[in-house]
Amino acid sequence: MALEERLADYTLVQGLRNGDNEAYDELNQQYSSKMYRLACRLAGPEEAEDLVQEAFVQIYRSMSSFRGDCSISTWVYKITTNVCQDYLRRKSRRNWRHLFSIDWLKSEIDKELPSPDLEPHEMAEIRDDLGRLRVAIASLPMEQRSVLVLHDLEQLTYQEVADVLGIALGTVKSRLFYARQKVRQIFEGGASK
Amino acid sequence: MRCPDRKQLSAYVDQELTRSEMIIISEHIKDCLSCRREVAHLEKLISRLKLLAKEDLPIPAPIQRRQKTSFNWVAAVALVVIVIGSIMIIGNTYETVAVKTWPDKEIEYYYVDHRDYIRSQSAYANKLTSWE
Repeated sequence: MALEERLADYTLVQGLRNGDNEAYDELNQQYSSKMYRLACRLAGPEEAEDLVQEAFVQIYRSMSSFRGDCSISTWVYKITTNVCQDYLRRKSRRNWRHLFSIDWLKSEIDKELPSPDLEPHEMAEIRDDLGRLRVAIASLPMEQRSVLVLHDLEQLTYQEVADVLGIALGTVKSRLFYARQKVRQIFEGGASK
Repeated sequence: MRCPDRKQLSAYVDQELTRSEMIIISEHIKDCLSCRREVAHLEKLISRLKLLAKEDLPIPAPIQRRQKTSFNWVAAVALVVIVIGSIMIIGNTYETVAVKTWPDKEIEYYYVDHRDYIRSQSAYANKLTSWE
C-alpha cells in the first residue's frame, strides 16, 4: 500500500473513530456504490440494498477493531463479502436462478456499454457476450463466484483477494482457474451456437 | 519444454507469477500453438469480463437516503431540544408578564418556581387569588 493511501486511510479511520460525520460521508461516498455492485454480483440484486446496509452497520460497529493490517478498501470488501456469503449460506436451498432473475440479467445487458466507437453489429455481439457471461458468473458456486468477481470484475490482485476471503494465494489461483473454466464453457458454448 | 499447467497459464495472463516464471512461459508460448491458443482464449474472456466490470450498476437512491437519515438523528434530537426549550422559555415569559400585572406582589411572585405551576395549577391559582 502506497504511503499516500496509508495516510488517507489513517485519516479516515481516525475520523470514523471520533464519530466525525464528514468521515462517515466520505466512507459512504467512496464505497457505497462499490459495495452495492459487489453485493449484486455475489448475492443477486433482490437483497443487495439490505446487504449493503448490513455491511455498513458492521463496518461502523467494528471500526475500533480495525488495526490497519490491510487497506480500508480491502477491509470494506471483506465485510461486504462476508455479509453476502452469510446471506447465501442462509439461503443455501435456493439456487442461483432464484437469486439472479432473468429480468435483471436482461436489464443490465440493455444498458449502454462504454464502447461508443464500435459498429452496431459489434455492439450487439458484445451485449450478447456480456449477457452470457452474466449468466455464467451467476451460475458459479459461491466460492468460485467470489474469487472471480473480486479479481476479474472488481480488479483486486491475487493477494487482495486472498486477504478479503481469508484464503491462501494458491487457493485463489486454483479457484479462479476453475471459475474461468466454467465461465468459458458457457461463454464459448453459447458463442459457437 | 513441457507445456505449463493451465492454472499457471491463467496466472500468466494475470501477470501474477514471479518474473522468472513469466519469462519461461513467455518463451514457451512462442513455440507452442496449443498454449498460445489457450492464452488467446483466456485473454478474450478476460477482456469481456473487463467490459462487464465497467458496466454501470448505479446505487439505488434508497441506500443513500437511508445512510443519510442515520446521521440526521443528531439534527432531530437538536430540534426536539430547541422545541422543548422554546416552550419552557415561553412559559416562563408568560409567568413573568403575569407577575407584572400584580402590583405590590411582584417580588414574592418572582420566587415561585415555574415547575410548581406545572405540578399544581389549582394551588397556584389559589395563591394568586389570596394575594388579591
